[in-house]
Amino acid sequence: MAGKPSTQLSLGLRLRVFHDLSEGRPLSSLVDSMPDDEEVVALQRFVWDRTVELGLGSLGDRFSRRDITARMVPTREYLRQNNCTRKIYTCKATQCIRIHPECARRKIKGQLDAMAEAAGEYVRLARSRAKAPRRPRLP
Amino acid sequence: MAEASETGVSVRALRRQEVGAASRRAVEYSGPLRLAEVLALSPDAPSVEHFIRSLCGKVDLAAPELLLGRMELGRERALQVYGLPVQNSPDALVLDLLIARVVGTVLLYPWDVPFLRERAEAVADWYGENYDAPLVALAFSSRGNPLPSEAYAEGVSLGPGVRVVGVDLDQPASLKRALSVLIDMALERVAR
Repeated sequence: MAGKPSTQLSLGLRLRVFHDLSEGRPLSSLVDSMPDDEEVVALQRFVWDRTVELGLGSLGDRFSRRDITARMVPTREYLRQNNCTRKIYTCKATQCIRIHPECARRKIKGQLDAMAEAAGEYVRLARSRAKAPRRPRLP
Repeated sequence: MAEASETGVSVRALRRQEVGAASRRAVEYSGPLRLAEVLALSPDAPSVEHFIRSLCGKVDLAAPELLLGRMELGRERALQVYGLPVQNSPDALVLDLLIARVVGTVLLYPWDVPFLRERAEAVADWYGENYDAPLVALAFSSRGNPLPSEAYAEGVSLGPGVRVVGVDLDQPASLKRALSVLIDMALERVAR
């Protein structure tokens, strides 16, 4: 999901999305405000990259991208829920948005909210560690 | 055993006196002052004044549309900070003149005040459309640093030439660290 820079999102929007992402607020409503499918794809990539960065900062070596993807509906299940008979490897929202935009947008919404949930936890963890009293060093 | 000079006075005590004297000595500039300049944009005046006062120790000029502060970096060198409280679309002429001089720009981003946050985002939109000088958004909050430096010391990238760094406006060390991120971003451009 990571990839090219999110140059299609305005700087102000990137700030706003980053703020809401770090606070763990759902981001799915943003998709409805974006008529341009390319902008939706850019949003998904931007949020993924930021979520990974927040996770790495908070957890370091213990971070795994699987922690984010485990919160998302598995592709096989999503296909079943939508009665889609396409091959599983074709169910990538960022590609299928050109073929079935409504279905792809629904999937992206779910992914965005899952990433926001993860990112919010990472930042909360970092904040709680920052506030925790440090153990005194032994002489 | 303490090191002693020929007169029997502790060398450590002498050194402490020298350091204290140096810090009390008024800085006298013998030649042109070498400045590094930074622009600080803010959606409101109080926060930019807070930023400059915390970083530089005082505000040298506080006009309605421009604040100035200077942080001494030793003899003949200083960091000059231009503070601009802006709303939505800043005065293009003033910004053009300042952007041409500065190493980069910091944008004060009030993390927990929605209407000021929206103003800052509007300024960011305008900045992103018109300039490509490095930009660091300083996220600050009344509840402390929203992005703890222990985890996010170098901030988080928002794209090419833009990072967001969490700061505590009452902690000069926090602000200096954010400025070092800005300088690093400027240097990365030269390295490319």
